[in-house]
Amino acid sequence: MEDNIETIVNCSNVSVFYGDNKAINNITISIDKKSITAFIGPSGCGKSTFLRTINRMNDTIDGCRMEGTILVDGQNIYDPSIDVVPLRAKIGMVFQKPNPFPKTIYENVAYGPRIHGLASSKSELDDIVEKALKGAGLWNEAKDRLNESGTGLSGGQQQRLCIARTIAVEPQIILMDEPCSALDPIATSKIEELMADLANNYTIIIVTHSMQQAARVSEKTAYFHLGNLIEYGNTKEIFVRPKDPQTEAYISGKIG
Amino acid sequence: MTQEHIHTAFDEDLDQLDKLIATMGNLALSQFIAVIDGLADESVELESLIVNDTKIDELETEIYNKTVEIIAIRSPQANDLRRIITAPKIASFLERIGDYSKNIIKRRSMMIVEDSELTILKKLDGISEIARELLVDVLDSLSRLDARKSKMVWEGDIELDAQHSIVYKKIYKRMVEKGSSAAEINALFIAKNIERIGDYCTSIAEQVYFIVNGEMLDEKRPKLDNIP
Amino acid sequence: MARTRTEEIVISGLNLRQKKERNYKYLGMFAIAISMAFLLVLLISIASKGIPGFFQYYATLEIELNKERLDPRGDLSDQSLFEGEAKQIINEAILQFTQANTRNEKKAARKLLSNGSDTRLSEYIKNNKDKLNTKQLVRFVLDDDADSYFRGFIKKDTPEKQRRLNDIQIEYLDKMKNEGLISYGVSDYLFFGSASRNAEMAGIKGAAIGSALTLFVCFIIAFPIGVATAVYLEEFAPKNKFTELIEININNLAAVPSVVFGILGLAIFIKLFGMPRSIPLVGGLVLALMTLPTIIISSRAAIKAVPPSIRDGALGVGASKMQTTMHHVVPLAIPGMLTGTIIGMAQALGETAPLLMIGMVAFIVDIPGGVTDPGTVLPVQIFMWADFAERMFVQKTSAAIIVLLIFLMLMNGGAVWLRRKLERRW
Repeated sequence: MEDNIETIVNCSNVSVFYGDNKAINNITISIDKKSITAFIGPSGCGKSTFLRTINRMNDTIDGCRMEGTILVDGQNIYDPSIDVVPLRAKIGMVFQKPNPFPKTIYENVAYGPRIHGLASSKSELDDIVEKALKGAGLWNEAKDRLNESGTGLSGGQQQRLCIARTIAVEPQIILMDEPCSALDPIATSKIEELMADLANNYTIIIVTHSMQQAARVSEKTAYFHLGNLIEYGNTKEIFVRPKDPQTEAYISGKIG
Repeated sequence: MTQEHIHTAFDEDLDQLDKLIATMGNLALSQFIAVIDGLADESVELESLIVNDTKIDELETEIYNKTVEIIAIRSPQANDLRRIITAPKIASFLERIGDYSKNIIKRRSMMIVEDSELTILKKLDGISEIARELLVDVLDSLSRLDARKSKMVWEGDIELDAQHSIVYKKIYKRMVEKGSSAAEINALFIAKNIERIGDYCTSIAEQVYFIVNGEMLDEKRPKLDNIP
Repeated sequence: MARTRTEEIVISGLNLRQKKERNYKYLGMFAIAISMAFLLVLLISIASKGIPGFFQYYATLEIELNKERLDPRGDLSDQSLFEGEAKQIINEAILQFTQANTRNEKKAARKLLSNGSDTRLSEYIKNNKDKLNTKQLVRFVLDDDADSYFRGFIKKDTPEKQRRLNDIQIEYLDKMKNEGLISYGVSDYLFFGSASRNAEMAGIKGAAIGSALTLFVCFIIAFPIGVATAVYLEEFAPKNKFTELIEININNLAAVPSVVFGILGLAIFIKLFGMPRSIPLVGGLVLALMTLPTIIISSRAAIKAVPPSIRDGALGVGASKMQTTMHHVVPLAIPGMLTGTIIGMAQALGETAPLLMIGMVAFIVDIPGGVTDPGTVLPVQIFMWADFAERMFVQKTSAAIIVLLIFLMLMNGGAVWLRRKLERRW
């Protein structure tokens, strides 16, 4: 049934240390291609840290060290010969608090393609911007305001702008670190619906502290606790009949 | 009907559930109609219909699982919640209706084996017709979530009870006067099954009313006090 | 409603609390009032001394603009006017007016107008060549002693020997006054004149231009280096003991007395590199050294203030560290950097000691044309004028101080305005 689904990210025995403190403990997991995978778990369980190892954002943190292998599309992304810059174009990230650049809406989306040289003319760049804004469900609201500042949009719109910015560089994978936690329920629903759409073209990994959100949007869910991967499986299975009693305890609200 | 959800997948889930229930209802209905149409006619072969009952039972399990899944994944609220929470109950009532149809067929087969006259079953035409109408109406009220119609069904059961009572007394009188035979006893059982089907229609009607209005039909269920 | 225990306690203490708060408020208002009073006294004393320095007394005389005498070569060139008899013509005019006869009287009369009157007349002719060969009323500046008389600094009742004007001169001046030839107007020498031993001719033009050139050099050197240093230290430098040491040293340098930078400049730029003294280039270099720590510190603060979410956003899209810093962090930090720079510049504008050390005290009449011409700066000019005895220098010094203060206020006000205007909401 689901054995034919390709995996795009393969993590083996991944551990992450902040100085001497082991934050992530020996995790092995494979993420399916073009589907939505959710990472859930209580605060401080390491799900965000683990997410950030996938696009090497942890490199920017002093004292952060990683062990193990992570293969993306068959390539070891921690190999010394890998340049982190194109890697981050291939694996985009959307953050918890919407962080559009203090520039125009057009510039926000065009920045990535411009620095990677994805457009050879202004009209090509215009096309890329339009396509990205459409893909993020923001085109209708933004097309007459392209020269206005990105920070003038509402929270939900700003987050969609950040999504547009991410998909403008045509990534394969989009990492989302609690993208809706700063948004109201309607904006959240709109983004969840958008994610369903995006999953047709991109692999999405979302870290969320809302179990209901993980249940709604993902095909597979991974439950983390204190830096360990406790259970990983189909979302429906996890939420209806989880195998591990720790998972069950968390999902039914028996632990915090 | 109702507004669409922002999450289209939620609407898809609810549609799936509705379809399962509608399928189950149609199966139960067609089963019952086939049974009562051929009830008194010996030439009609009804035993092959028994196997359909398995399908009805399978649907109940499917509906049950789908309900659990939707509750776990969607955390439904308000109107959605009532639609979903009543689904397994309605499925169970439909399953019972299917069972009773099956029992009627079995009883009739027994009568044929014992060489009884099926003509006595003609007496049951009246209540069969009322029961059929109740079932058609309640399934219609379910598919359109029509609370007014469901209340009509709920009130209409009293008529079925009354007619059943009359038929019962007639057959009973004949047994007393002419001596009982297997035919009469089986006819009484079949009559009771039909009456029970009517009761389940009422139960389904109560669920429909609950979905729409959020509360149970409060008044005492109309029932004849005299026990036949 | 019955009161809780907390309410009881609070209410009973309320009076005392309110009294304390009121007292505190009055104390604050009192302190502010005193500081305002001091400020007012300061401003009034500066203004009362300085504002008269913006004005000067003029005398209007009728002059016969004889072309052949004034412009012998006939081409109105500077050489021709120099060879001309402007001075004699003016003297003739004043002698005629005063009816001076004796040698003493003539000597007295000739001293009434400013020494630069001939230049003034030449300027007048150049600008009004159509009026040559006519008699015109020309306005001249009075000699600073005559000017002081009208201001009331030289009094008639002082014995003649102790006065700078003798009785004859005073008599002539009174006569000019009575005939309405004396007028009081804005001093054009103050702004457009240069250093001069003649108090009435002294102006700040040269010093102002010298200040401008020096500050320009300072900015050109200090701003790029300061900003680049700050960016490097904040964004790229590894965090180790060595960079910590650098940071401590920069902070200390900001507190070093400015004279020390002057000595440094003297030793290195002038003695070691052999650069000439008293040129804006060297002055600018010294001031740059002095201002660098201020710029670096404020730029670092501006860079630190850029939120990490902006950096994350850029990195997440695949920008390199350099691109993130140059395209996002620095543009957002520029307002803060500029503000710090302007404040540093304003500080440099008012510096005297280090520039004295490198010798920008030369008496320079010519206005510097470029950074390698000798020049001086405004604070130094003020410092030099303060030495001279003439009363008019006192007023001009105060006037120059007012000009300097206005510039400082404009620069600092500009910094505040800039900061407010460019403040972004992330």
